[in-house]
Amino acid sequence: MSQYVPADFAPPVSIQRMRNISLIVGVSFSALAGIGAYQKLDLFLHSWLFAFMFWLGLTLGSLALLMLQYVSGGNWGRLGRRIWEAAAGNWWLMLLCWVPIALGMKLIYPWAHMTHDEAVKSLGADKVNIYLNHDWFIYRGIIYFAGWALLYFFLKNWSKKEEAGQTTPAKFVLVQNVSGFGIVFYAASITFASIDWTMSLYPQWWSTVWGMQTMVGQVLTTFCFTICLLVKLAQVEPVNRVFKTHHLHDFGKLMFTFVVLWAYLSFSQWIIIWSGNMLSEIRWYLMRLAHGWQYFGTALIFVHFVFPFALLLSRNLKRHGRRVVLIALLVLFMRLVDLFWLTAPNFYPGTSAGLNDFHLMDAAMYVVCPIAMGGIWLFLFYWRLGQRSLMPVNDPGFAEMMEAKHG
Amino acid sequence: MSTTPIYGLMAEFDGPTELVHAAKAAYDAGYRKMDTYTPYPVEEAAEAIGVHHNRVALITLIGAMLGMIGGYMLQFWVSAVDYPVNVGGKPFHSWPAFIPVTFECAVLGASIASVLGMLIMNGLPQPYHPVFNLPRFAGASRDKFFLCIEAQDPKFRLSETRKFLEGFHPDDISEVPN
Repeated sequence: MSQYVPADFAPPVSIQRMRNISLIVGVSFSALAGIGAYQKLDLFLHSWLFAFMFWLGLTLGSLALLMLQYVSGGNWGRLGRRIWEAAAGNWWLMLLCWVPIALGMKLIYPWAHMTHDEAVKSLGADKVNIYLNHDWFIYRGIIYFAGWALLYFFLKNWSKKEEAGQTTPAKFVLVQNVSGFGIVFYAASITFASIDWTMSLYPQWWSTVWGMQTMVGQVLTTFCFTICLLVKLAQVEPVNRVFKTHHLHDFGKLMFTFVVLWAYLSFSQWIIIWSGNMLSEIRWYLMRLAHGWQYFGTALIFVHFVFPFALLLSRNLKRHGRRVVLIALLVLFMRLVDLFWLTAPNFYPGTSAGLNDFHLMDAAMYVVCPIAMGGIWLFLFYWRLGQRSLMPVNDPGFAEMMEAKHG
Repeated sequence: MSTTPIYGLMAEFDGPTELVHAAKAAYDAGYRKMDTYTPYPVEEAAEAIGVHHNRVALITLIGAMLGMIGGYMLQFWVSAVDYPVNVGGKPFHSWPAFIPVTFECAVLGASIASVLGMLIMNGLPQPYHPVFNLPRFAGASRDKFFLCIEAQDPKFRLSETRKFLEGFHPDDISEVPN
């Protein structure tokens, strides 16, 4: 047992304020999204899918990091653990948000819109009968969510037991083993889920790096979010007693790693398809490199990769709270741009249409939906975060972490 | 009192916390020419005596830039100038294809520059160093932590510096013969 008790790290009152603001924003923007859905259902569903992929990324990225830090250890994991537990607990909100997508799939996915014969003709009988059909889209979605929920419940119960002092360091190996298995399940389920939910927006096209790219995007989103929140929380008690400059440095390095990994995977996909120059593959990029979409793609190269990469090389910058937060916010925004560029062009497929068909109403919905979903998401997140101690005081490595770094 | 010029005064500590405490105080007191010796890397000790701000980072960046430019120019010159070959109907100067090699050359340039820069800046290899004249110094590779304030420091006065170091209750203070 450590010399600390959970009450030493009770959440600050500012969390309540953030929770209430989130609720107000979430409810009012949800009303706007509802009006949008009434006006133009297909547009609502398209922007809803975009918002869903972003907030699902934060939920599952948190679940993945929660499992990863049990396996790898490290102080960064102890600092982020309660945040990721609270975020992964939003799995059921994401399930609710997925329901409109499952119900409205005919308005989102071309393969769901086609008749069976058309789909077989366009995609091949095997693809349609075994994978891309209405029933299996729903069954698979339920399997993913069930798996994520099981992992979340196991990790939450473990964490509650640990907080109550009912575990021993020797039993810690159990949660590590389950996490190891969980990471494998996460990788497998995201690979399939990303095929179902985003890649199949253009069912004739495929990319084998897609699932990996989705995973890296999710974890990068989570690191950026965690950095912003930890730096904010560290301004006051009790997190300021734990979160030190060298921890910020560690998080900065992790964000840097994932910025590079994102660029590596995105570029791999591009160079393979560009080199092959096959009609079936290159169309996906041609659609995104014309009619105004090319500006988003170019912005991704420079603002999602080159700019944060160059700045995060600096050691001093990574140890400067406000600057790291500014970069994290920028990358969070670029995560949205990336998801927009990957999904939205599929909905404006005309040969000369592109952004010409993207009207004010379209732009408004692509802003309103992420904020509506995000407000509710953050409300539940802060509500859950405010229930418990912010630090895992009974973790086997916690006392060691709290020992003054020499001097 | 010894009349031979000495290298410095060496204080021996039991743990890293005491060492960092003393090193910080020495830096605050105005000592600059000093060094810490520990059995394993103690980053805070390096920070305490202000050695983190060196030029190795800049040398690494320059190496990376040179590698990047060199790698790209090599490919450009080979594929577009000296020996143009039509590959899949693509332009001779196909920049996307050059990126992976450009990146690898930047990494190569950065690693070579940082290793060479590190060796040049820290003065290795160094066959002779006065601190090894002290028999107790063998503890630095086992379980002891040392702070050596060098005699070349403008603030160094043998008796005053000794008194200053005694204030931190080290296990031992020795003069390091040059």
